[in-house]
Amino acid sequence: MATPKGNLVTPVGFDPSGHPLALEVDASGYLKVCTPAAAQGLVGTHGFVNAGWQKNPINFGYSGRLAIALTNTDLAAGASALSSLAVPAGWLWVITNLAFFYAGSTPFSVGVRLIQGGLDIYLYMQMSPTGWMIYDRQGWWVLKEGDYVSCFVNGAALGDDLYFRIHGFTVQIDL
Amino acid sequence: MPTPTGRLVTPLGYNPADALTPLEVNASGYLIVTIDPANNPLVSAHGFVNGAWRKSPIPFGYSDVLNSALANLALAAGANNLDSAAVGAGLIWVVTNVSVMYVGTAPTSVSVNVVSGGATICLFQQNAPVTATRYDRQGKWVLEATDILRCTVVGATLNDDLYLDVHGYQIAIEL
Repeated sequence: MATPKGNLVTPVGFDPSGHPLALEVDASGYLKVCTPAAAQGLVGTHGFVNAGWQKNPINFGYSGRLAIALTNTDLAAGASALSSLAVPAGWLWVITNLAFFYAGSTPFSVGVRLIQGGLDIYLYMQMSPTGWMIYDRQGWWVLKEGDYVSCFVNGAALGDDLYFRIHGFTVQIDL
Repeated sequence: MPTPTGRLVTPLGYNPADALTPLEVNASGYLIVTIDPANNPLVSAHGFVNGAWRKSPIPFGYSDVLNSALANLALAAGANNLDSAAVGAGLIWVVTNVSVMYVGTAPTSVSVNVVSGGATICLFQQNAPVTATRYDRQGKWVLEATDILRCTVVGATLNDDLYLDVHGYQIAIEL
């Protein structure tokens, strides 16, 4: 029986080895279960790109709201940071809004960075921020297990305040 | 029994001639397997646009995070480029945050560009950037295989520093 190439097939399950099984119709019109060819995509799991059916990634769907408010009203002099918890296993965080403000004397700078896979990724920074003014960004920042986001200040005065707000949503990626 | 045309059908498999065989309901209300002569779109694989069912593209979903922290701490005098790695085969990058910082004597300008298929697309430029100050943008920039992000400084002073931080996510497009 010929096997279609590059076409979608209808999945019905997986065999004990984890290979997908699909439906075909034999010459007598009976349905039978077969193993699809490697080049075949499964209905509902593939999208069309570059003239072929490719596996869809997981969607940025919703599992929960992400709302984190971090505050330090007794900063040490010099450099400090306010950091979120790390993203737990089995989750993604999609941050869509970041904001901070500083209260006290004017520090040298305040900014936000991601810590991802051992790298510091600087997102934005404000030199000499004005007291109580909110410095914000809207975007789409994706964090996976172990990543976290941090608001840093350089040149803080002892006892000054730093406020950091994070908003977005979480995506659960359980097996 | 007429075969629906231009409508979604539920595929079951392919017959020996590789014709799609969807389910239909006959005049008596029984399910029958028929050969689909119209190559109708498949449930869950197509979307409706401009009055017709079209193949759905892959979504902008998640396969992995993207992060890159690049630096050149010994710039040549004049013009310099600081390049990301090229996007690998089978991947799409969706860059959502870029930030750039120059440390040293104010150059003429710094800019961030996408180099894509032989074209250089400027995303933003900062003239006479203040030393040690970050300039950032948030967006959704899509890069295909072999594309790169390029930070360009014009009028650098010998041995000054240039930093480029990149964040986003990756989509794997595998069969």
